[in-house]
Amino acid sequence: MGLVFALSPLLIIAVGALLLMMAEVFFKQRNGLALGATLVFATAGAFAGSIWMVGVENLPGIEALSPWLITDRFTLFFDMILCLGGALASLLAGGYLPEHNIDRGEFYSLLLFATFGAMMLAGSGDLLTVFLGLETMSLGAYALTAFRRASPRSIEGALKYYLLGSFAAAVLIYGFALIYGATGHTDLAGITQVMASGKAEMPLMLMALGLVFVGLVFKVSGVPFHMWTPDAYEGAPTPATTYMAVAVKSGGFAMMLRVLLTVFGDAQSMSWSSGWPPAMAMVAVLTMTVANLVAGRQESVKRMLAYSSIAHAGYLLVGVVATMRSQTQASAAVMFYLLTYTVSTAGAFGALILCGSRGAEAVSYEDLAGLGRRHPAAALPFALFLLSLAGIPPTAGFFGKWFVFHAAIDGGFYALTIIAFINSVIGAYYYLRVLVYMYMREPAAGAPVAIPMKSGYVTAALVLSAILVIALGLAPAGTLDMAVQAATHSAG
Amino acid sequence: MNLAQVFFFLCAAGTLVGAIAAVASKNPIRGALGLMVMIMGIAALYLGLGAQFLAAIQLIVYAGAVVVLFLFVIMLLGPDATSATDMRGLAPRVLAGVLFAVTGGAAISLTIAVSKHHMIPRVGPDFGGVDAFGRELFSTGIVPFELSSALLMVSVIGAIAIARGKHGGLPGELKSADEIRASLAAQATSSEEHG
Amino acid sequence: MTTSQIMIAVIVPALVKILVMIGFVFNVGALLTWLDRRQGAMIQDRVGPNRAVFKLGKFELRAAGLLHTAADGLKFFFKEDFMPPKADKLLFSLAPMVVMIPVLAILAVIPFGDTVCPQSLWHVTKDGHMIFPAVTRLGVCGADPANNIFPIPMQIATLNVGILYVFALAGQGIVGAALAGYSSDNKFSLMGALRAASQMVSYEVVLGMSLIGAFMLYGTLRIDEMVRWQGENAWGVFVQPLTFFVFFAAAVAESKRIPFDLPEAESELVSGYFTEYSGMKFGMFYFAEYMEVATSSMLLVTIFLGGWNLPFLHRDGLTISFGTTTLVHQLLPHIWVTIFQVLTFFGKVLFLCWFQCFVRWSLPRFRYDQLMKLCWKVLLPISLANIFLTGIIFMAIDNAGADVAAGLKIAADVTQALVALTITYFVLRGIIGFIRPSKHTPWVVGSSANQAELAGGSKESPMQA
Repeated sequence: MGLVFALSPLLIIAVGALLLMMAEVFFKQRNGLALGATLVFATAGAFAGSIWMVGVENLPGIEALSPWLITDRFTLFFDMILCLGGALASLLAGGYLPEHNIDRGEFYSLLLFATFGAMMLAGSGDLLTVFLGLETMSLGAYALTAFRRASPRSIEGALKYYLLGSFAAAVLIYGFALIYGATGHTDLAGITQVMASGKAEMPLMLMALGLVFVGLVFKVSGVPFHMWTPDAYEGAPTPATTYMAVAVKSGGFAMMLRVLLTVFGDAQSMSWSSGWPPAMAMVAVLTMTVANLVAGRQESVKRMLAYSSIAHAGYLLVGVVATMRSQTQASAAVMFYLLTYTVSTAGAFGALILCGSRGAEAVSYEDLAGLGRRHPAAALPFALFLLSLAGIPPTAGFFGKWFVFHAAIDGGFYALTIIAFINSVIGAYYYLRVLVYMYMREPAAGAPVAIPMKSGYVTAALVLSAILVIALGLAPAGTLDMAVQAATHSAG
Repeated sequence: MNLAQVFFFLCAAGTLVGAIAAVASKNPIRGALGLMVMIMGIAALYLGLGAQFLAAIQLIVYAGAVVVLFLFVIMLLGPDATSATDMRGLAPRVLAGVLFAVTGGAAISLTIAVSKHHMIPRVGPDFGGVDAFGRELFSTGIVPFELSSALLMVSVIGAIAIARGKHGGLPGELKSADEIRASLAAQATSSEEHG
Repeated sequence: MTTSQIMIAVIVPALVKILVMIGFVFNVGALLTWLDRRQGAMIQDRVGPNRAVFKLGKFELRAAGLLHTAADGLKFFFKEDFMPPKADKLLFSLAPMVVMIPVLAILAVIPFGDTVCPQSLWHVTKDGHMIFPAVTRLGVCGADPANNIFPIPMQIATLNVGILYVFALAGQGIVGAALAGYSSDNKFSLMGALRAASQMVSYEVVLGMSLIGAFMLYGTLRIDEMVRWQGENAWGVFVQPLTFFVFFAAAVAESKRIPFDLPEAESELVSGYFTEYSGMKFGMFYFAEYMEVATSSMLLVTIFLGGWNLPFLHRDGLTISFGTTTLVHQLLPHIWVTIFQVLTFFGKVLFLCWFQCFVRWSLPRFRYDQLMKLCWKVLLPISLANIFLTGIIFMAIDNAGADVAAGLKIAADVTQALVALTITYFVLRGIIGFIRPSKHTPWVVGSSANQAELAGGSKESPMQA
């Protein structure tokens, strides 16, 4: 029974996806699919939470899954983040897809299966399951990007994403193969053991590190492997964009923490002189700077949000670098940041969806001009989420940044922290620009304006994320404590 | 040189010839054929290693399905599939090739160096057969085996979602950056006219 | 033991086996080109091929049109080997070979007899008498390297992957058709090739899926083991009836014959992907099709019709038993059993070849969408359901206990008896039909000229149309 309970989040997602597909066949009415998907996500998240409360130590029989799947607090924390992201994305889809006449049930099945992959990724204890999870998640994301096939931009984005993503996966698995060659193991525990005993072939391992590093950075869209991100994010239907920005990125960071901190977690690989941290720091600096500079120049709000998500990956990478000195604190900060980022980004994209309706979408800044006066109910949550993304207190985003920067300073990465801080100031510029347009500009005469849509689903998603943004901003301690527990558990 | 080595070098040569043909031929069908030769060479190499099951699967999946799909697509595209010589980005391409060759060479030489230490566990003589493979797959590897069903499921759903996506949705509902700029410029001129 | 002795002990039997298989398939292929036309004529109430004649003075040999096969072969060799001016020369010439090779290569894993124990074939006693011993029913004869005696499996290659090898090669057949269509520079060829590729890819899925239920029962992928299982239990067609029909349909579709001949539908595409071929290259396509009929019949025989087994005839001799009651038990010499089994196998193959020709002339062609619907919406779900069903029944029987197992054994023996009765009936019918003077023109081997005379024509000026 313990085994089934430990697997329950994964099982619920998979079974739920299959049931939803059946439901689409047998019921003509499709409005309920989004609700169904949300409920599946919520149930899976609730089960993950209950496993957390019972305590993984008290589950008999979970060794049967080793080494393929690990159930620890790290996994469970990510399960909850992923389920939250998935639930928000399916709520948004419930409003967006019917409005834009692409209401097909596969969307939810894809969301659920992609989340299945991401959860597999977070819980994988073997390079094989890492790869399986990664591909399951990525294939779902590719299909979601191409979901609006009639639109050339959707197809273009999906094709770029697919080709580059497959290439990155190939690089990653090449690295995995070399790890196997160097250590004779594919399970993370076994690799760690061989690395600790010093029997591993270090030159081969170093090459593997290079390849794995590239693959990992690609998956979290760090510069210089970010080329696909803006096109894919812009071309995809907005709920899919939300999902990619939120859940796929969380899955990527779960994989990164898992692989880097176990396989390459030995003293030599984690050192500043002979390991991956300097390269990661370089990528972090590049990611933040390039993304923020380019984001400021965008005319499309959606594209701006895409670049903003790249920039946030940069801040997260700062946290990953900081794991070098203080592994628990920095991993916890990264996990907490991912949670705050999930609610803020999902909210921001949701608000963007709410601001427009079919034929009158909110695309450019101009479209949003005067929205604050015309439709305050749509503009207000948008403003809140943008402030959270910019990291302005008392929103969740502030504490996310605060903990990551704190971990970096504790680790002694002063220069990195300063660069990150400067970047968040630059970031504030383009977030505030939206506010300026919404509240201080009037639309030009005769220019097209966005007309907000009406959807209970989107409203529910916004309310949920708004509550979480404010709650995490006012009282982050409890959640942070959970993140620290998760990080402690995984470090062992 | 014993018989096994002769076999290996023959297959390796075939594989290389196929690979070069796949990359170098201008005609896409010949390229696909080169790919098929390469795949068969690799299958033969698997056979030489005693991995009968893997060899059969290699042929069924890659030669029987993947290459055939390539051929299918090339035929659907017809003569247009032959592209003109594209010299753009030659330098990066050469660079990428050199980089990959160096990485691959390093990997191979390092792997050979490693193989003296036997990091990879030795396998029994019946390892590549169907029985041994099946036993391994359904006992030790049952978890990833079951998990991979999710991967297959998501790819099937994804393919259907994209194939069905032809209908519904407005093609023009997403504006490209150029279109936005154009509309902004139009707005600017119209406001000037009004002013 | 020297190398030359090993050569004799190992390579000579191998060469003989290869010669037997290739020889059989080539001859059956040639025969089928005649049978197909002749049978078609019969079914359509026509005369059929009868013009080829071998004349020596006053002596004329027509052999019911059999000579047409030879005449066709000669014609193929002497016809102009035309190549379209814009064709891709290399691929155009390569395509017929690519079509031909997999068909022949599949023969390597088809067993046409049980393993032969050379030391048990005959003994010469001290006083010069030859005796022909029998072997045990399930016994495996051991190798005797000291005297260069190895058991000879009646199979060119005993592969561990068995049937997977067949699938691996069957997949390559598509490439030949695709190449032919693409390189011909003809739109009908291209369309034919597209149809061929999509049809074969689709039906290959069914081909593989349908057999999984059979694998579960036989517990092996090796084709010779499958045949042995059927000999000891019941034939595959009784234990996996659904699979048999699905596999049969898919196999016919793979060989692209009516009712699945859309790739070469003459009323739509001239003759599909080999429209532009002439001479021996056309001959290879033509011939490959008939050889494919032969190989698919062989597969069907080995997987579903008991291969070399005849009912109640086992390795050690004749044993008629139902459950635990044995009615007849007669040991027979190994050499005779072996010869009989090999003949049985080829006889079954010939029967199925005839049956495939019969199907070809009885059914109309599918429309393209019907073809695809049949594959993906009928045959594939059936084969998936079959896997599910087989699994459930398998589990139920496994847990059912000894009584059910004994009952099943008797049921299996009853199927054997049923087959034995059917075969006897048809053999008797055949013999009686042959002996009894017939009022009608004889069956199959009828003289079409006589028929023409009856209809008012003459040998010199046959009926028009």
